[in-house]
Amino acid sequence: MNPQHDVELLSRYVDGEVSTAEQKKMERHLAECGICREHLEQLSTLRDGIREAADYELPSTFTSNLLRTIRLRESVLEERAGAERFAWRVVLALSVLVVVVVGYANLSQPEPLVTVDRVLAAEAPDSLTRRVIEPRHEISKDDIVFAAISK
Amino acid sequence: MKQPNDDLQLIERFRNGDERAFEELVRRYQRQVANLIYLTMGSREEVDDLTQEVFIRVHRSLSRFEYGASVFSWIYRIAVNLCIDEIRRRKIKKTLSLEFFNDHRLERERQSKAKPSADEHTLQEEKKQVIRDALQKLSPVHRQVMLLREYEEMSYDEIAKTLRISTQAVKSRIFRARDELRNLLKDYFKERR
Ligand SMILES: [Zn+2]
Repeated sequence: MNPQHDVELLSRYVDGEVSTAEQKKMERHLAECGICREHLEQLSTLRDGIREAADYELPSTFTSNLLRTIRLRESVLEERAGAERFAWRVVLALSVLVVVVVGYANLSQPEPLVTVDRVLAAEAPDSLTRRVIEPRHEISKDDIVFAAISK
Repeated sequence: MKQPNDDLQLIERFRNGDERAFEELVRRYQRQVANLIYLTMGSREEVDDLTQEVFIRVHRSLSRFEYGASVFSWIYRIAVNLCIDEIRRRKIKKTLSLEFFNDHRLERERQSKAKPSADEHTLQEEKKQVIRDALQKLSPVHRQVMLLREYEEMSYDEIAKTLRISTQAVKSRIFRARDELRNLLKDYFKERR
């Protein structure tokens, strides 16, 4: 009566992924088709076989080992983060120290203006040319912090 | 797949600082994850370690879990991805030691043919091995859908979400995977009758 062996539908049928109409159609077909009944039988044998083949047993210590490993990793990460925080604090403290020391040195010993007096031959003896050399450009805080970070 | 309703509650508890909730989640899914890995990889080697790695990743990203997804689908996705990486890694290793591998395999086959093995337990074990070997002969994508469907009991929709493919693709992959397996297992079906 029913020459159509719809194997694609059969595959969805065993998974329950069919509409009501498809289900009825398949059931009607199965009632009269031995080939599809055998096919269906094989698919359910295959399903049972796969479930039986999944016989792996984890050791009873699995969960406790896992939790220990996670805790261990977390503490290592925390330690590392702590060490990093510490290193940054040291860098910051050193930078502040350098700024303070250099600043103090600049304040207490202002660099003297370097003056050069030169008598120009062609000029009158009372006419002195005074040449002023500017003091070095002062180091800014930014320069020090930059130097500390880029180390 | 029957999603335990309180999976999401477990995650909520974990986010509120209850580490026991994570432990419960692990106990709920560890066997399923281990066997998914076992049947995907086809060997017992490193199943414990890989399963552990899955849950370490779960733990690490639990705070970023999106409530729209189902928990098991998210966990299996992590497992599937880990297996894909591992298969790639082993393939490289295998190519490097191909000769050794072939010798080893031939030796194993010779041994298994030599022993008569009549008792029920051994017979049962051999049948399981036939299934596992057949699964290994499928392409990884066919193997994945087959395991998520037949072992994890997921619906097509859930598989599609887990693997991020269309439901149509799930449908056709499952159909083709079954067809391949039926061909590979002709003798197996005869014996089972
Ligand atoms: Zn038929």
